[in-house]
Amino acid sequence: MPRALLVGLALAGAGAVPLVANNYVLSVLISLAMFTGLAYAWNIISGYTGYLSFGQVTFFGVGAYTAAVLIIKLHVAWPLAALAGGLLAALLSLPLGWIMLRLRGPYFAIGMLGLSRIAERIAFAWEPVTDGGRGLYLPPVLDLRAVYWAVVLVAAALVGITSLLDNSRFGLRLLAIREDEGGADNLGINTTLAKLQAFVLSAFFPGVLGGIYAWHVSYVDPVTAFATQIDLTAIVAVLLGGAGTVWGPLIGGVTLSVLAEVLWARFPFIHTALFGALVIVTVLFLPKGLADAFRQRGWLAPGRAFLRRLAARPAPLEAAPE
Amino acid sequence: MLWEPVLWGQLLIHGVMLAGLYGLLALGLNLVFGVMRVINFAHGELVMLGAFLTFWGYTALGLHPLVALPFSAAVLFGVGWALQRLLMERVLGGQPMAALLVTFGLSLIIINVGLLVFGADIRSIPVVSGSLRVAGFVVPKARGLAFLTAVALTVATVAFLRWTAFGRAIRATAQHPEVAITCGVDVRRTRLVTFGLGAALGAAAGSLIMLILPMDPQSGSLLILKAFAVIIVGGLGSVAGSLLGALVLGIAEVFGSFFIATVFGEVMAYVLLLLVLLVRPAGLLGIAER
Amino acid sequence: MLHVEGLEKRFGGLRAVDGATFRLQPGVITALIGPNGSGKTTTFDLITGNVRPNAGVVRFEGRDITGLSPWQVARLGLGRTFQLPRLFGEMTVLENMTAAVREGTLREVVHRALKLLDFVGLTAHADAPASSLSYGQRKLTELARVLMLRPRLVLLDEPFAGVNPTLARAIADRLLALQRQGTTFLVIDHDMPLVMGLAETVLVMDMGSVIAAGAPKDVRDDPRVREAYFGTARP
Repeated sequence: MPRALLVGLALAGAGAVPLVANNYVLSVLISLAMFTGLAYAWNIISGYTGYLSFGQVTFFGVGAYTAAVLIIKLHVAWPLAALAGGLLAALLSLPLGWIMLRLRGPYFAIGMLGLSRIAERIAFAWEPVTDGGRGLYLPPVLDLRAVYWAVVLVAAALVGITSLLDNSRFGLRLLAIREDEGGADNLGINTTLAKLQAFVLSAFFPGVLGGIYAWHVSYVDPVTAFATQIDLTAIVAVLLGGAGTVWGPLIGGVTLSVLAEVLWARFPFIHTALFGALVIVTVLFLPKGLADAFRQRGWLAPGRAFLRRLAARPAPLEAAPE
Repeated sequence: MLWEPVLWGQLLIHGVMLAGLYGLLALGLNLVFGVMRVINFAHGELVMLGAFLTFWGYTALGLHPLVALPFSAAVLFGVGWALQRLLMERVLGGQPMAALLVTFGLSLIIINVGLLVFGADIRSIPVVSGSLRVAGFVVPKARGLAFLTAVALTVATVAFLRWTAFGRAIRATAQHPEVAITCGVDVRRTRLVTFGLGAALGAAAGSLIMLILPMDPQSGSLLILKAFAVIIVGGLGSVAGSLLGALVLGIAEVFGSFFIATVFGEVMAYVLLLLVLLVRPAGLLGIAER
Repeated sequence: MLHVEGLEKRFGGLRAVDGATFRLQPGVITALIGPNGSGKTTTFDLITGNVRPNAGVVRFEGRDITGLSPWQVARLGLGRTFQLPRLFGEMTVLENMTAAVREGTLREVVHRALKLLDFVGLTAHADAPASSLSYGQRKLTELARVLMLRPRLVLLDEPFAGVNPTLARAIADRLLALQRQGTTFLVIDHDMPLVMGLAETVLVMDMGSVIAAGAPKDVRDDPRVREAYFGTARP
């Protein structure tokens, strides 16, 4: 199948980059893959399910601290530590999601922001584990290639998972919740459960990425691990690319990286304002993101093809019930 | 915990004084929500902007903060009006998330402008010092002044909403925009005034908060979280609920800081918020859907 | 089939539903009529779990479903539609049909959805976003969507309101066809001739309780009904 071939080629190409690239290029690509991955994770709860979160960085920070502590105190290998960071983030997201997902719309968004601020405060205060504001120092990373492969693997996994989600009944349930939660409830969709499942997915991957991040920069402190800027970048990437789509986060992530290199490096003092302006301009003039614009020009196939494909090729009549 | 009447009374007084400020802080946010059904995510930044204008009036022009406050509020009224006119009108009535995201983008721009204009330093207005002794309790003059002004402004706003024609127009628009239109209310103008008023109330709250707590251009995000907690704890769309929420939050913060840890005081708003959500999702007095 | 007893809901001082009691027979189309504000939609909300009653019991096929969540009620085979159709606007009609279905392979589900879309005459719109449909098409899609759950009882809230007479007749015919296959319906509507022709049994609500029940013509001649219905605001 050409599709499988394409995916294989893309993965092989991405995997081969460290063989030719220098450390600077690798750093740029690590950061690109990291933010694209975070954008994909955010896209599940906020893009598909419609629960706009301003605080998924909570789970990034939890992952970063978990991995750092495991590496420093228990000498766990860093990939395992990062995985443990993801698992703890997912575990934590169960009770938190159960409570927070009772809030809807803007209340959920701001409630999550508050949660991330609490998490930061706790990291400051819990000195025996986090060493407070001084932060935790990890052994320096000399070889960036492994970090690169790990981040790209997570990002690629998220693209794959999103593609599966986009073509699954679970994905349709999430979209139904986004469109009309009450209506979905009345059709027999256990919305509480579906939302929680999406929330856990959107917490696990930032946790893993946080763990990899801690290893990558060899340092974790409350301000950087729970930085609002991290959420912001993921949110802007998804909005720009197209929320609730398979390719939106990637398109947005890449566009944002290019913008950052070309534009923002020159105007560091108005960096935040440019982000804000980008959010407003996107919402006003490109509410469905670049992915939709690309689709209208025929550069990108429409998403959620699975039902259409089945409808075009219906089951043999005798197999059908009724 | 030891039962010491004087200490507890002292803490209670501090909590209530803080609550007066939180009530005013949440009032503007609640008002805009009531009329527009939009959570103005930039409310904290408008508060910060108002506070820094007052600070500027104090340092550059030598104005007493209470003299500078009306000017700062007037400027912010204009800013709020302009934002509604130029931005919010384009997204109201559309996707609810669009309005939230626009105010979110706006908050980032205002923070950045604040950093460029005012610098990143933490500022305060230490104009009033000293304390009074009232019935054996210590009341710092700055806190007392901020509290009394905040209460006066809150009472004035509630009275304005209740007893003036324009206030009734605002409340009518909040309850039934369609009915308000048929009754001859100029809904568009009402919304413009409401957003302006929300920003002006925020500016007043910010100016008063700066009398007792230092601020920097990034403090807005912390303030909106407190305002938000007040509204959720009290119950959405209920003025009485907001006042109760402010009281609960102010007192809880003071006691939490004193008896547990300063950090706990800071996160108290959210601990409360989570508890309320867990036990009584509609808020202590709220009935509104969310 | 459905057994409602002493159902009560207060909103503040207002008794929206005040001791409503009735039974539905299986395989029958029952009409629920009554003046505006008599508590019909709230009764639906109480049955499907959208609103919790202050008192009373709802039994569905012998099982107490009072206080269950809407999704639990729906999974037991009790579906509903709304006065204003609640479709998932950004999703296609076909996606609307399949989103909530759990049983069967995807192939079977899609096939069934296409058959039902054919049944309501919307096959051509299967891939159109629900938000692009006309009002009448939305009503039909919502009806087809609830049928995807193979409900044994469906509550329809004003299926004919705002629909042109031809389409209303078409919807009524579909309901009769489904009834012949064994589905039970409870229908709220104000289109008296249509409802009286469709329903075998009529329930009349006034001031939150059921004041009369019976065959259409008996109910029409009931003096209490005349007073509640025609004696007040209506001519």
